[in-house]
Amino acid sequence: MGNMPIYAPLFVIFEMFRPVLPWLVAVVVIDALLLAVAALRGAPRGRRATGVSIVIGIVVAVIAALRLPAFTHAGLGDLVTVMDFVMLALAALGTGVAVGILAFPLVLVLSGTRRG
Amino acid sequence: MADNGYETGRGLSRRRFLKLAGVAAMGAAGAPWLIDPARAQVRTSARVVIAGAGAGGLAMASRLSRLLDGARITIVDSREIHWYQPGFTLIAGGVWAPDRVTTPNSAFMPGGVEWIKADIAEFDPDGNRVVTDQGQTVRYDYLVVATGLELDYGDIEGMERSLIGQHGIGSVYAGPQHAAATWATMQAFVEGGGLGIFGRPPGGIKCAGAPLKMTLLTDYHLREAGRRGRAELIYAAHNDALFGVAPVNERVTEMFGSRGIEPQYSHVLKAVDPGRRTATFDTPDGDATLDYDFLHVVPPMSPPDPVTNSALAWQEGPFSDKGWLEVDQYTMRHRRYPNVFGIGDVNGIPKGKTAASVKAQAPVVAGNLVRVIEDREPTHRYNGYTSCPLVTAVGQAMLVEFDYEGNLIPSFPFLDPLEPSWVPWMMEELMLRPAYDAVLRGRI
Ligand SMILES: Cc1cc2nc3c(=O)[nH]c(=O)nc-3n(C[C@H](O)[C@H](O)[C@H](O)COP(=O)(O)OP(=O)(O)OC[C@H]3O[C@@H](n4cnc5c(N)ncnc54)[C@H](O)[C@@H]3O)c2cc1C
Repeated sequence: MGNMPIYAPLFVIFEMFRPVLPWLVAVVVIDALLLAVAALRGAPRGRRATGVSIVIGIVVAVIAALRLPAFTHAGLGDLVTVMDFVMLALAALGTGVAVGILAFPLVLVLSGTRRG
Repeated sequence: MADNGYETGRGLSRRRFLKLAGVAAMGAAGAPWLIDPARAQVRTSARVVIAGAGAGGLAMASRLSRLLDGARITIVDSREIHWYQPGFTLIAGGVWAPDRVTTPNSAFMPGGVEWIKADIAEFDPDGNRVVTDQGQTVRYDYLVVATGLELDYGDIEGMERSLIGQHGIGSVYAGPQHAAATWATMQAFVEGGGLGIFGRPPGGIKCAGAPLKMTLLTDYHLREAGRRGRAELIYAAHNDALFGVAPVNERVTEMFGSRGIEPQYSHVLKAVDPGRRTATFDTPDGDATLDYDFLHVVPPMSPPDPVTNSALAWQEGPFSDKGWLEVDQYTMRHRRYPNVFGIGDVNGIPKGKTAASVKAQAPVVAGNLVRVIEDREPTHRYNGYTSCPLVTAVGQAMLVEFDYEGNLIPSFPFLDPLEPSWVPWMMEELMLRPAYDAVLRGRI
């Protein structure tokens, strides 16, 4: 903070995930492989997979919204300003979007092919 | 539909899709390294010595190792385990376990930097050299002093570090285990009730918000336990204010009032009798002795002796009493030794004894040092930026940020710096540590 450069949040987020970086990289690699499998198998059910991933994302976002204050050792009662709720909503949304995107390749493979 | 009939993403061929996915994955992993604030390299054969491998020293080592090409950079510090000190308050408040704040210093040590695992026993700025406690002489062209400060528990009669956690004495400052012992003492007080005494000494101290946080956290835990009525809380301020920045002082005074915490002004802790559980204060009306049940001791603080005893210390003026490092408060360059810079708690400047200040000072010191190496005038300026999330309860905090003039300078205009809320708490709990690590790695 303090005249924080515009790119600073990127590094903060990077440091936040540094302890779990190997796991994150593993998930991304597995996702890439799953996408390759889906692409090579042909005719993946992209629309259906997108729909399911969105539902997964929404469910995760709702859970995140309810659990995030407790994750920070706070209670929902500690949220007192509009900004508290806006930030909680954004954090929950971000978590939901991230999980939805990461889940998409697996859902795509599990959805099978359109012709098969 | 894509050209080959696959529905692999609207309008994308399979090959293009795979290529884009690969680039996106690589981009996501590598993005932070593409943006490097300290990348432009300056060729030099200069020998740079950094005294101290705490927040300031490591931030400087990281930045300078990327800014300077060919320089020989040496960092001197015997400490092998790094302490994330802002986390001490969370340990003493019962929120974190002590192991959350310790990391091997090697995890932050940049490649190519020589680490001498010893302490500096003597600074000899006229000879451009330092001497370690193991007798090694290290010469330098440029020196960065980043030794932090010392906790002078012994300046309080009857008090010593080993008493923390015993006889109702707590102190958040001394280290992770002492912070944990402080939490245990606070819990015993919450159980037993009585008189809790808090306060701070005069002079420069690191994180001047910490004594207030400890007071408010004790009040919080008493209320949570339903035992607030069985305890009395006193805050002994060393002068006529609870905090040195006017709007924050007003807000904290108001908060203390509403939470039944009694301020006692111009009270300086001078002696402790642990056996009898009494604390004696120096006041304008003479000594005042109080029986306590919980005493949170904040020791006087001073630069390490090798700094105080050297020519690098202020020789006159308000910072000479304890021998703080004599730097220009804006450029961070030594006022008499132009090849010496200072960063962090050791500096004799009006504000800036927080890790957040180190974050703001690091680019200034590194930038100015590089300019001096290039034979140019130092133009980067530090505005006194000091900050700490002032925890008011487990779950709420105020993100207080100010400059030399005592102006509030919020980084996030959407947050009211004087309104306790969850977002600053969430930052303290989740984001401050990653931000701190990024500072040590010279990234922000
Ligand atoms: C309880 C507590 C709460 C805090 N809360 C906050 C907060 O909420 N926000 C915030 O921004 N800041 C906070 N801080 C302050 C912050 O941690 C310090 O301001 C910051 O660590 C200062 O960095 P530094 O490099 O100057 O000193 P340090 O990080 O203390 O490092 C100094 C280093 O110098 C070394 N050293 C000392 N003497 C010698 C010598 N003779 N030779 C070689 N090496 C030597 C030491 O071993 C140490 O490694 C808090 C601090 C405490 C104790």
